[in-house]
Amino acid sequence: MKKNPDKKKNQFVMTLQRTVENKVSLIGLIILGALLLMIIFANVIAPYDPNYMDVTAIHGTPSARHILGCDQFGRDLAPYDPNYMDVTAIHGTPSARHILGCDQFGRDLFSRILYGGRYSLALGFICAIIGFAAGVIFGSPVGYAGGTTDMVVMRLCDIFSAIPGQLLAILISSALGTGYFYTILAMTIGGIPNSIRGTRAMALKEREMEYLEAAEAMNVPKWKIVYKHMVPNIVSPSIVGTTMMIGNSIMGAAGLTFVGLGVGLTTPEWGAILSNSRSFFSQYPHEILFPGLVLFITVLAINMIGDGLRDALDPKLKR
Amino acid sequence: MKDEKKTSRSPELEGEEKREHGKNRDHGHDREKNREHGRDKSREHGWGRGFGRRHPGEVTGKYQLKDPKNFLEVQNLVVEYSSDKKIVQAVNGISFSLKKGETLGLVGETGAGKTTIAKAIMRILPDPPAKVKDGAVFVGGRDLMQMPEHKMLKIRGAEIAMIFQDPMTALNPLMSVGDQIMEVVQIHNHYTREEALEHTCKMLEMVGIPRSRSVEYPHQFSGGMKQRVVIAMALACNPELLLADEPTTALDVTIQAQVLDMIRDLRDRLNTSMVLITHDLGVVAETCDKVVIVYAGQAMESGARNDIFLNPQHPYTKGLFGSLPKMDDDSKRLSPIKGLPPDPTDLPRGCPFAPRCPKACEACSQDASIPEVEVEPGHFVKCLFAGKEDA
Amino acid sequence: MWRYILKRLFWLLVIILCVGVLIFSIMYFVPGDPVQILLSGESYTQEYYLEVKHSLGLDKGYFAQLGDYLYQTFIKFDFGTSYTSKVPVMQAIMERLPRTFLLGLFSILISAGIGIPLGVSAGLHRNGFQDQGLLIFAMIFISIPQFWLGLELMLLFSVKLHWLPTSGCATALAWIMPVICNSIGGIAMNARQSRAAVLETVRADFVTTARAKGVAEQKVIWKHMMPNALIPVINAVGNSFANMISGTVVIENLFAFPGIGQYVLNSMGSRDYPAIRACVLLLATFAAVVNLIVDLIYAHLDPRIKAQYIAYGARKKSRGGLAKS
Repeated sequence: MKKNPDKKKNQFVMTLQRTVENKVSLIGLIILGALLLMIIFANVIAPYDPNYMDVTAIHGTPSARHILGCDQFGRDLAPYDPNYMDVTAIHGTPSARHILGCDQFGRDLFSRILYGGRYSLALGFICAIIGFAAGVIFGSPVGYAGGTTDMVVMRLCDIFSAIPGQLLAILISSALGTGYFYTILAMTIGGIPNSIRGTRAMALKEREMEYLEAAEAMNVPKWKIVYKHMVPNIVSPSIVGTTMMIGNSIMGAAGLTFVGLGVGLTTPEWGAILSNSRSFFSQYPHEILFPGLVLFITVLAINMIGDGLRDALDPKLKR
Repeated sequence: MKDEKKTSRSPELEGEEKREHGKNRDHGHDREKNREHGRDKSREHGWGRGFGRRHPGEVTGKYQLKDPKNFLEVQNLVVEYSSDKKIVQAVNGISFSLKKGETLGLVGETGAGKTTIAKAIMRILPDPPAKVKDGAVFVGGRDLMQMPEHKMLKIRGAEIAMIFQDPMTALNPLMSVGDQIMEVVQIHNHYTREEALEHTCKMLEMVGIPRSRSVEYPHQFSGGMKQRVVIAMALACNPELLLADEPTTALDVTIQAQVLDMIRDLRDRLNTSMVLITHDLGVVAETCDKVVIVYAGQAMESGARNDIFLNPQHPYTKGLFGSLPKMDDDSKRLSPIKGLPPDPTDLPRGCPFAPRCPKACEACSQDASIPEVEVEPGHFVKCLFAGKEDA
Repeated sequence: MWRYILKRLFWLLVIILCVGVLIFSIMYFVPGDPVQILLSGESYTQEYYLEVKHSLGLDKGYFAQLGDYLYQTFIKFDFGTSYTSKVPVMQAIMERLPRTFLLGLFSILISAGIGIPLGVSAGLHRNGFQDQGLLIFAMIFISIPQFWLGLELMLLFSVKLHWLPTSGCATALAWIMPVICNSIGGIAMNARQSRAAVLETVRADFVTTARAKGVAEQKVIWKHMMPNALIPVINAVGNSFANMISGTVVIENLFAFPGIGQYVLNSMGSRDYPAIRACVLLLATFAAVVNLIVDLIYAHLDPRIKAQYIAYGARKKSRGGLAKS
C-alpha cells in the first residue's frame, strides 16, 4: 500500500519522459508552448489592439508602416488595443506595419489572432477539463457501484447522447444565445455522457481488481475506495482523450461561431475572426488564411501531444 | 562484464560488435541469395511483402547433414530480434538432433529462447523484427532454411505441426473450431468437403470432444478443451514432427496431466517425433528420450535423458535440479539459482551463465565462446569445467 | 437473441419518447418569442398578436402544450406545420433530408473507402514509408478545421480556377467540395483506427497458428487477420453514420447546401419550433435505428458478441459491456 504512490509518481514521470522523448509530441509541445507564450504575452507582442481599426489600412496588404509597429515593440510594449481600428489600414493585406494585414475595420489581424487565442485556447482547456472531471466524478462511482445506479445513469446518458453531438451543441448554443460561457456549455453538454460512459467502462474493468477488494476488506469508506484507490488508476488512459478533446473543442467552438452562433462576433475568438472575414474571402484571402492557419496549427500541436501521450501510455502500439 | 555495462548506452554499436565477434560468415554471398528470395516473394505476395518472414535470412548453405539417421537436425541456429535501437539475441548458435519417433525436451527458464527455436524451425517468426541470422534446420534431410516459401507451405501443418502455449489466444475467435481444423485438413489433402468434415470430426473425437461441438466457436470452450482443439489441429494431417511449446503451462494443474497424457498417447499411436518445450523437469523425465538444457539461447547441456538426469555436469543443470523438491532428500531447503537470466540485449561475454555460476572463474567471462565437451557418448556440456573435475 | 432485439427495440422507443420530451422542454424554455419573430417587420396590434399566439397553441401552459405535442407526434404521427412557411414540416424535411443523407452517405463511403485501405496497408507495413506518411497525413487531416478547409478550397477551385460552383446542390460538381470537407476527418480517423486494429492482429497468436497450418500469406491476411481487425472498425464506421448526417450543419452553411442542417439552423433562428422538434426527433430516431442495425450485424459477424447478447437476460453484470456505443 505504502509503495503505491511512489510507484504512481514514477510512472507519471516516466510517461512524461517518454512523451518528451517522442519526436512528434516534442514538436507539438514546442509549437503549443510558443503559441501559449505569444498568446499570454499578447499585450506585449501584439502591435495593435484586436479591435483597433486602422482606417488607412482597410484590407491593406502588409506595409512598411506596420513593420514600424513591430519595431515599436521594444519601446512601447502594447502599442495597439485588439479593438483599435486603424482607419488607414482597412482590409489591409500583410504589411510591415500589420504583419498579417487588417480586416474590414482596419483592425490588426495579428493582434486579433493573438488576443483571440486567449479565448480559443482557454475554451478548449475548460471544455476538456469539464468533460474529464465529469467523467471522473460521476463515471467512476457509477461504474464501481454497478446495479441500479449504474443502469439509471447509463439510460440517462443514452437519452442525452441520442441527439447526435453536433446537433445538440447547435441547439444549445442557439437556445442560449451567443456568449463565451454559453459556448462552453454547448460544447460540454454533448460530451459529458460520453466521458461518463468511458470512465465508467474503465471503472467496471478496474472493479474486478483485487486491490479494491483488499481495500474493501480493510473497511475503507466507499468514497475513499473510489476516489483514492480507483481513480488514480483509471485517469491516465483518459488523459489522452482529454488532450484530444482540447483540440476538438477549439475546432467545434470555432465552427459554431463561424455559423453565427457560439461566442458571437464581438469577441475576437478565432472562429469569430474567420466568420467576420468570411464575406470578403474572395477579395481578401489573407483574412481567412492566417486565422485558419493558426487554428489549424494549434489543433495540430495539441493532437500531436495527445498522440505522444498515447504512445507513452501504451507502449504496445509504439514501434 | 563491466566494460559491457559502460558501452550499453549505444546498443546498436554494441550489437554490431557482437555480431562481428560472433561467428564469421560470408556476407556477400548471403546477400545475393537473399535478394533473389526477396524478389521472389514480392511477386508472390504483393500486399504481404512486409511479412516476408519466410526469407531464409542471411543463412548460407554451408551446413551439411551430419548424420542421415537424424530426422531433425538443428545446427548452429542464430536468431535475433531487432527493435528500434536494441538487438535481442534470442537464440545464439544452438544445435541438437532427433531421430524418428524420439522425443526431445527443450528445457529452460522463461525467455531462454525456446519458443523462438520452435518458430524458427517452422519459419513462422515474424520478420521484422525477428531474423534467422545463421544455422540450418534439417528435417528429413532437407534444410528448411534454404527452402523456398511455396514448398515450406506444404511442410507446415502437414509434416511439421506445432502446439502453442496459450490455447486462449491460439484460435481464431471468428471461426468455428471445426472450420479451423478443416482448414488445415483441406490445405494438405485433396478431400471433398464431406471427407474433410468427417476427418475433422474424427480428429475432434480423438482428442475427446464430441463431434457435435465442431460448429461451436472458441469462446464456447474451456481452456483445456481449447488446447485439445489445438492438438487436434496439429495432428490433423498426421505430422512427422510435432513441436509442442509448453502445451500445458496455461492450463489448470488438474487438466495439465490429462492433456499431457493425451499428447503422449497420440504421439505413440501415430509414431510422431516430438520436440517438447517445457520448464517442467518432471514432464521431461516422464516424456522425453533426449534433453537439451537451454540458457540464453544456447545449449548448456544436451544428451540422453538418463545421462542428464543421473549425471548432470553443467552448473546450470545442477542448479535446475537443485531447485526441485526431492522425495528422498531430507534437507529442508531448496537451493534456487541465484540472480536473474541475463538481458538478451546485453549478453555477457563468454559463458552467459557465468554471472550466476557458483564455479565461475575469470576464464568463463573471456571473449571466446565456451567449447562443447563430450563427457560421455552423446552427452555434451558447454562448460570449461566439464569433465575436468567431479563435483 | 430475439429477446435481446425486443429489449433493444423497447428501449429505442423509450429513448425517442424521452428525446421528444427533452427537445420540447429545451424549446419551451428557450428565450425568444416565435410570435414576435414571426410578426417582426409588420406593425401589429396586441389582439392580433394574441390571436396568432393562440392559433399556434402557444398560449397554453407547459404541460398542456407538451401533452398536445406528444399526442400529435407519437399517436397521430403529425409533426405539425412550420410557423414561418406554413408548410407541413414533414414535407420540408422530406425535401431536404435526401440531400443531406446522400451527402453523409458519400462522405462515409469515401472516408471508409480511402481511410480503411490506407490504414490496413500502413499496419501491414509498419514503420515503412506508407506507415510514416499515413501517420503524418492522418494527423494533419484530423486537425484541419473543416470550414476553413472549405473556404480555402472554394478560393482555389471556385474563385481562382472557376472549376467548381461555390454553393448549392444543383449539379454534381457542387457536391465535390462539401463531400471532401465532410470526409477528410473521417478518412484520418478510419485510417488510424484500422492501422491500430491491424497492428493488434498482426501479432495475434491465432495468426501464427494459421501460418503454422501452412495457410498461404495472402489467405492468412484476408481470411484470418482482416476479419478480426476490421469488423470492429466497420462497426464504428456504421455507428458514425448518424453523426455524420447531423454533423453537416457547418458544411451546409458554408456551401449554402440546402439540406437538413441548414434547415435546422434557419429554423432555430426563427424559433420555428415544429420544424426543429421534427428534425431533432427524426435524426435521433435515425441514429438509434442505425445503431441498432449495426450492432445486430456486428453480433451476426462476431460470435463472441452474439453470445453476450444471447446471455443478455441471464447475466446482468455483463450489461455494461453491451450498453457501450
